[in-house]
Amino acid sequence: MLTDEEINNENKNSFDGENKKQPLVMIHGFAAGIGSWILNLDTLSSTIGRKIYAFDIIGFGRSSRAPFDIAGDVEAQFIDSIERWRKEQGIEKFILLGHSFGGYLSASYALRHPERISHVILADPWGVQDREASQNRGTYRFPIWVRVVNSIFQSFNPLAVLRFTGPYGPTLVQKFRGDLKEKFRPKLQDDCHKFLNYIYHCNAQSATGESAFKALALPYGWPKYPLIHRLLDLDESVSLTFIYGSRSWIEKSPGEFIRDCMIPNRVTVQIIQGSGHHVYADKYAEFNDLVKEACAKVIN
Amino acid sequence: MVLRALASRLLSLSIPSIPLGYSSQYTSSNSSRMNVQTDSNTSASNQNLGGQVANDNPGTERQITESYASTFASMSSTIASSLKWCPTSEQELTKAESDLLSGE
Repeated sequence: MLTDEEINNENKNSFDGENKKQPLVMIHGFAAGIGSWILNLDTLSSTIGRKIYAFDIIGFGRSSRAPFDIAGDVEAQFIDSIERWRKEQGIEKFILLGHSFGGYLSASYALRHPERISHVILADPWGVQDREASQNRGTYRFPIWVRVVNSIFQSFNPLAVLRFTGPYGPTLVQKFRGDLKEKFRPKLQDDCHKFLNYIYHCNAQSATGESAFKALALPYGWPKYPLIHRLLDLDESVSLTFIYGSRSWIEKSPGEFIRDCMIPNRVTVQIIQGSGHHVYADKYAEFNDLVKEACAKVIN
Repeated sequence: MVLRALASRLLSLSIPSIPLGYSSQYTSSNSSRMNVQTDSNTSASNQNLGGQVANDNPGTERQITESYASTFASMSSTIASSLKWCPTSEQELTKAESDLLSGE
């Protein structure tokens, strides 16, 4: 069990007064932090009429790099840390928004603590798709050297190369993820390199969160415990919104499957045209509008 | 054929157990956080790898990938963590976040 974790909590809100509406809690994706939301926080806090909370997932960003019990229930450890954060903040019930791996954790949290959640917004969520259901497992066998190389890389954490390159890491990030910083140019303009600098420092620290993520994933990024069937058992009091990017590598069909299996109007699937995986940044205006729309469905 | 012969040769060698010092540093720096086995990451990785490969590769190929990949990964992790050559610190991360959010 994780103990004494320090979750980096940034309470961004424009409503210091008595705002009784359920707050919106935002969970970033893999290898990111609360800084990922810079294109959304201002707009959402001024338009949805709710307090907004964002925090760094345990093991990521500025949160504690407490080691996980990898052999145990890693997902439960993530969820437990979120639940303890909620208690610390004194939040009774809220709307939960998660991107990518944050979406996976959001859905998992809603499954385990449905009494705390009114609505879940899954932004291009990782971990919904079931590998077995979507992959035609062919009989082709890769050459042994391919499998050896693959196995070696599977032994490392996903971003190990960033840390192995040591002093060249910042240059590596700037060179190979230039696309990422461009997404934030509308906000940062000529300072958009600051985003990559932030991402570098987030991921050059001890990789306990990465190790934990790896424990939840199969090779090639498939989830060990896909959400597609688990979400069908989600408590009826919780509604869902999926927001996908039309150009994202994340499969949209699981969201549509879940929508079709549940009662009408309980699940909404939105696709933002022209957006990739980073829906909150690629088309941030449309994304913010959809989040506002989803929040409006929650009366209190 | 060459690879298979090499693999057979390699498999006849014993593979030393390399302890992973990956997270031991946190035990000393902040004992209140560290209540997990320091080698849990390694063992879990090995288990994952074993499970994964077991489904795909029979026999010697599986053993090669399991043993040498995990040994190599453990050694690399140990070396990388002991070098501490990434130009970063908690203070620099805090500053980077502050710089990023200061425009808001």
